[in-house]
Amino acid sequence: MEADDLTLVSRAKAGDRDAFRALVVRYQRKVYAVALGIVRDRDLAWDVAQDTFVRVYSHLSSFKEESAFASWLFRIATHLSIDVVRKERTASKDDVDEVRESALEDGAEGILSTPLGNDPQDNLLRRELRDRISDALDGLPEKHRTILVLREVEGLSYEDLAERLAINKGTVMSRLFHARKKMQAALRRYAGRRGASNE
Amino acid sequence: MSECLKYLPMLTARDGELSPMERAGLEAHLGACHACRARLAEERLLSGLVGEAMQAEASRRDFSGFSDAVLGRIDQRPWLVRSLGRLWPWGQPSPVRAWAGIAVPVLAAVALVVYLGLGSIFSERYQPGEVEVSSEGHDMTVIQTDDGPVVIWGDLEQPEGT
Repeated sequence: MEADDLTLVSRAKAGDRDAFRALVVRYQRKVYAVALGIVRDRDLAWDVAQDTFVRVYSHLSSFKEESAFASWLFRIATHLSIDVVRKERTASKDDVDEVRESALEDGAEGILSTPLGNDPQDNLLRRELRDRISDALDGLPEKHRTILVLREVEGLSYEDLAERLAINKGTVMSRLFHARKKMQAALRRYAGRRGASNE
Repeated sequence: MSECLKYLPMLTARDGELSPMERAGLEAHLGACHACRARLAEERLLSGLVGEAMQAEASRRDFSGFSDAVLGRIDQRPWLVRSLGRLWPWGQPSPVRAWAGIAVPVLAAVALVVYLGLGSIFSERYQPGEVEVSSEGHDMTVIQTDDGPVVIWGDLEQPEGT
């Protein structure tokens, strides 16, 4: 039976390198996935993922076992990823989060779902869409990309997102809404092409 | 339309994320608004796709040497970096505590420098200057101080009456 996180953390704190290695192996892909979603560069994401574990190891002694190791790990990964993006980013203005009337104009009648079908279980469709997600993520501002990745990859709740990003719940909902709208707009361009080619 | 604006950001909320009042309002609105029901269908279609896409990309990467590289980097860090790394704020469970952990030693160092600096000022300002004593006979002694000569009448070495 696999040891749980806190058992491995306790052993790693006591100097057991194999225990720490087990934690790395357990979370390496997901940490990389979060980093990749935010920084959008495979090599940078690889470095961020490694750096995350190095930082975690450095601070292991200060980690309190009553909190979740994974939350702590991903908080570090998130902040390192955001730091990298902000260093790399040229001065660009992110869009505001306010919900405006224009938000209703696009996709009011489910424009995306119509040519793609409405069945969420359509695996072929999902696979095709998944391949386009990566490109679509590239076009999102950092704050929209980050919140979308944390929501979808790490699975954070509104409350967790508010705490992680130091924003209130209303801003979480609004920012997620705008992130999704932009994602849908990018995918809609693809869907439109696909719908036209199918006719 | 204003109702739609109010409820649009709530469409993708999971169970327990909306207050009972928000949830009831959303359900009522969806029951009456065809456009928002269409938007909800679209949201559901896309739900989870970002996560799947990132996991799929991560799965394509070869992680066979990842843990070795991490442990290698841990071993390679110089002592100073390892020590400073402990002060890095996001590694602490509480950033406030982390910053306090940085602030306390820094303030202590500043206090020490200030104390030593002021000590030297004090020492320069208040240290008695060299005193040169000369006796001009039994009746008068001249003490040379920083403030000038001080003349003491009488014999310092052999006070009267001894």
